[in-house]
Amino acid sequence: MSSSKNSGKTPPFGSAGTEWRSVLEALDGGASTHSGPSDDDIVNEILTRWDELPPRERERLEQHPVHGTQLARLQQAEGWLREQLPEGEACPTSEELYDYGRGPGYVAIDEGRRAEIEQTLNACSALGACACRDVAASLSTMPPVPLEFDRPDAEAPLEVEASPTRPAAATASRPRLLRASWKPLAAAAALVVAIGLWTQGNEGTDGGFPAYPPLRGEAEQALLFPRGSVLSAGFFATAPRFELAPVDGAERYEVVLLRHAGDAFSPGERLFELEGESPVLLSDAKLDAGGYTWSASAFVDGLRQPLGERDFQVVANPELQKAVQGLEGVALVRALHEAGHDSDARHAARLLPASEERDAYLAARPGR
Amino acid sequence: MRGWIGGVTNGARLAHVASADGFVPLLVAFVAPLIVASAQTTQATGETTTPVGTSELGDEARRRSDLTRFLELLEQVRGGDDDAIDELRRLANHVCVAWRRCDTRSIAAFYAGLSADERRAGSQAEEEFRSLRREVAAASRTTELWPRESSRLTRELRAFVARTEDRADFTPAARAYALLARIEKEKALAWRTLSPGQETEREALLERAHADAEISIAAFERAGMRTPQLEPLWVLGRVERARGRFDRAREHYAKCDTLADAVGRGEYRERALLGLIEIAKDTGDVARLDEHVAELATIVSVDTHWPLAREHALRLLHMDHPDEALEFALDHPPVDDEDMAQWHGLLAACFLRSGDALSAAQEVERIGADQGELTILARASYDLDAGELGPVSAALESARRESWSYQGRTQAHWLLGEAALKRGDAVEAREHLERTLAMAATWRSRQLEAGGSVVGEWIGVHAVTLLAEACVDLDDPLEAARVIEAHQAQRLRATASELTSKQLVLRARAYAGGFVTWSVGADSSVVAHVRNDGNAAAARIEVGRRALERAVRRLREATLENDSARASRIASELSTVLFPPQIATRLAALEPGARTLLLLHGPLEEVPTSLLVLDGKPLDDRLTALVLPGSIDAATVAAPADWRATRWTLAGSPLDAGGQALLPHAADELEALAALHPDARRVSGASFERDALTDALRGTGALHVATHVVPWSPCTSTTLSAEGLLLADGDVLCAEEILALQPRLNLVVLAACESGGGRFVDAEGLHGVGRAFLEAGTRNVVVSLWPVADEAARHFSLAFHGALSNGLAPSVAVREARTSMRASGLPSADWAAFRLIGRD
Repeated sequence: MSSSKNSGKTPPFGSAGTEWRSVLEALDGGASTHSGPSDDDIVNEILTRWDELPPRERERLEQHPVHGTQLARLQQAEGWLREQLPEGEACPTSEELYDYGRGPGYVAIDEGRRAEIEQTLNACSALGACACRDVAASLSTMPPVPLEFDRPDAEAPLEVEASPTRPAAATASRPRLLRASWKPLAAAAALVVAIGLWTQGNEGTDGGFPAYPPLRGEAEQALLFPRGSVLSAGFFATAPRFELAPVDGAERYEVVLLRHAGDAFSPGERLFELEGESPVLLSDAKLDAGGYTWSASAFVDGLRQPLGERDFQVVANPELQKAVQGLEGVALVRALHEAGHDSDARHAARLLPASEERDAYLAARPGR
Repeated sequence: MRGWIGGVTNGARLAHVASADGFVPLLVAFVAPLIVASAQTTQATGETTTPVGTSELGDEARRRSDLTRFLELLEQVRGGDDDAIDELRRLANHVCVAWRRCDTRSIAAFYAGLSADERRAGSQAEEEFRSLRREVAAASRTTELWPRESSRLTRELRAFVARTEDRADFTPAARAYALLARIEKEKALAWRTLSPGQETEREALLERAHADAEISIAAFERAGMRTPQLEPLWVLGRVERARGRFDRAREHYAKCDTLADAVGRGEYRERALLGLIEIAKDTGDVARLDEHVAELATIVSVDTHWPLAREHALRLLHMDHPDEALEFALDHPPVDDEDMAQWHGLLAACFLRSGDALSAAQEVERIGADQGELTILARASYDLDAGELGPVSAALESARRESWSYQGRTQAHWLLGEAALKRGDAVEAREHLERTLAMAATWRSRQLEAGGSVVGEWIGVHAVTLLAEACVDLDDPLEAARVIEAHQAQRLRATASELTSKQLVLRARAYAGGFVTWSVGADSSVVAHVRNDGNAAAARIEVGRRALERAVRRLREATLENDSARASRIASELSTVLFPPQIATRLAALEPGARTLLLLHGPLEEVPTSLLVLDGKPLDDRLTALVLPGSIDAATVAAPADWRATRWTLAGSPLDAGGQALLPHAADELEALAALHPDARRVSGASFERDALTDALRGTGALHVATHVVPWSPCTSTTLSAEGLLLADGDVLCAEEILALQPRLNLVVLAACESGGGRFVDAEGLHGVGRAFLEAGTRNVVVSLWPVADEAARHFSLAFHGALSNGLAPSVAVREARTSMRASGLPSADWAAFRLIGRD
């Protein structure tokens, strides 16, 4: 893995740095695959940053009956990624390819650039050889097993599929914060997912996904998420996803987003509207810090049914950002959820591979 | 800003639309829509095919073929051909079995029972009738000819009926009766203004139309013919509506709708549903209105059906969704040019309410010279908004309002009142607005069942607010309070609007801090405080309904998200608005903890009042707030009790299918409460059954229920939410069942989710489980405003009962419980939800 990971911002293995050696020792001889959620975090971090391990520790990890296999897969994956690296400057970058392929957290590419990329790929395909051959080829071959993306929307059977959404006429450009950790290879994001898969596997049985407290009943709610606070950097605000309770017979849904000053009475200024056939509507717009109101309608037999309004606040919360830095998988979901950032937590959960626990979490409703 | 023309429709225009192109549908009605080839044959019986939306084209072709053949055979039989009778019967049986049109059997049986001569005579009469009907259709297209020609044709039809109705084949006479009913109905409804003599004549015409339609239906019934009954059924609906007999009209329209659905005659479904929509509007029955509009949308396309598009856009506007109404109206312009003025009027109203006066002005210009009710009202609304008060009065006064719909006339007085108020003429404003509300009251008396509130749903509480404002301007704050209370939550009082100032002062005396009441209008609100000594103060609030709804929603959301800083900020802003200085000063001067009744109306009913602040302190630290959704007659509720001597029933903690407690803390809660009330009756776990709870509701004393309030579709009240209390074995006791049991208990604690919520009926309040207890006569109900955490509910319940056991009144005990939870650092989401609805 690239050394750019440890660019001086954090010590090796972050806060877990003082503990990883003891964890590795505990793993010696296959004593344990995981001894608890905190150890899981450390093991995951060790696996993610295996290339930073001293040779002796790396060897110890390679010999571990469970984590050794995981490490081998990671190494295999990384080798594959290296092979896909483009040579020519004119080729689309891996990041652009990622966006072109619309992976999780992708950024919408403008139509002009999309057409150029498409032209390049078509040319490569037609000619059989071109400067960007390797890049084009990377789209046609399947990556090794751990890199196989779990498309969150497609593999969340308990969730409603997002439909093609008509976005606002004017959409702001999105920040790249979410993807910063995935550079330089777009596909490195896959590793995050892959690690998340293991993390989820471990933690899902021990602690697992968070849950809402039992209530004496449940309010009928049409506008589900977003709600409450969402982080301005990363997560929900970079890929707003508006989730509604399905309405019987609805042929389409509409969401209007307004920004307001955060006071009690102001209606706010209309930012954009979205519409689609699914009760889940996606936007490309980046949401800056501030107060927002979203309202929604369903259309049944051509008649509009106003479904209500709900507020959410996009906040810069450096403390929480710091706290979740380095967290992955269920641990990240739990940290965000427990901080009251349900929408961000759901965003993180959707990036995890489908599982019974994850889907149950995504299907759960706050009840009020 | 106004533009509240929602709910106003041009009755005359709709009548025209409903009858489509005058008498043209009369001809169409007798022509089978699908069997083009045998249209003539179909006319012979009036029977039609069912254009079911089957995707099986083969089946559909076979069905058409069978029905076509049936009609051909029928024609042969009617022409005197006895040999075709057996085949007709066989085919009728086949059509019944294969295509579920079993009226074919009764039709075949009817004609098979006649002799060949009788059938031939009937066929000839049928031809004669068709000729007469063609004449009627032609005459009805010529306005000048119609009055004279209709009289002549009516005479001829009567003569025809006299000649043919006693024949064996009486069906041509039955058709003639149906046509006569239609002509009489049209003539009666053509009169807009009536002299006393004309009134009598109109009533006679309606009576004849009614009688003729009934004869026609009975005759077709005897002949086993269903489709020809549609026309007279629809006529009956219109006649009864014109007479103000809405229940009967609804019955006829509903029957017409059902029959049309069964025989596949969409145009009659459309007419019947339009009739039902009008009745729902006449009676202020918003729930039914929405239901019928939605049903109509399933059979016609809103893209091409202007009456439907108009009704829906008006409904959106009435619900104060002007942007959505505007967008919808822009997307659904009328097809006919003659409807364009209405459309522009509607757009003007939407723009106006959206705050776009310039666009509204442009739309008003486009209305042109149209003098329809809707357009005049739209123009007047615009002028009022633009401050052009003279034209408002001139337009409305000069309009021939006697020809307007009742809604339109009511709205005209409202606008005149508002214009006068704007001019500073509070006396004239009061006159117009009182008339508005008096008309609404008359309207209300027409309501057949307690499903809605005319004042709220159609006139809007805005009129009440304007009248209260006029009282403020006239320096009559007590009258402002009386107006607010008299016209809201009337269902809580047997005396309805007859609430006097004296009664109000007497009610204020029951509370050390008196009472505070609010009326929330479209663009502004009014608050009034009546002190214990009868002294009153009132003030205008420059914030209207949408903004208050928004603030209440934001406060609730911030509280539930545990965003205390935001919740506190919003609560402070809201408090500043709800307690303007004139009122805040008076309340701040009260003794600390003074019991003060807050009469919360409209969106304010959902305000967690304990989060409000007064004079910089939480309201709970200043007052003991009791909440009611309106002024209640003393005689209708249970008498006050000595709480320490009250016998409790402790109920709840239902079990799941596996026998486990659904709410672990509810079981603990009941256990702990049993220790506090050793003589209490316990009804929990598996014994928390319908009979046990019903017994408790029929008894006296106090009841504590720790369970879920669940939405439950089998609950079918038109007023109360479809929800109830979850019992053992998954059973649910519906809110309407609670109301029907008439529990007149001293105190009920509903330690359940959102028990203070429910369906919102404007001017009447929230209608859920809590309201059911209150309306039934229970004196005090402790409810929650949102779903509370199981553990928090237990915490509150124990604190509340503890305080009650110490001899505190319920209102004080609720306040103490909340305060103790707050003091122990629990989030406001856990304690601010609880409130006492009642009077101690």
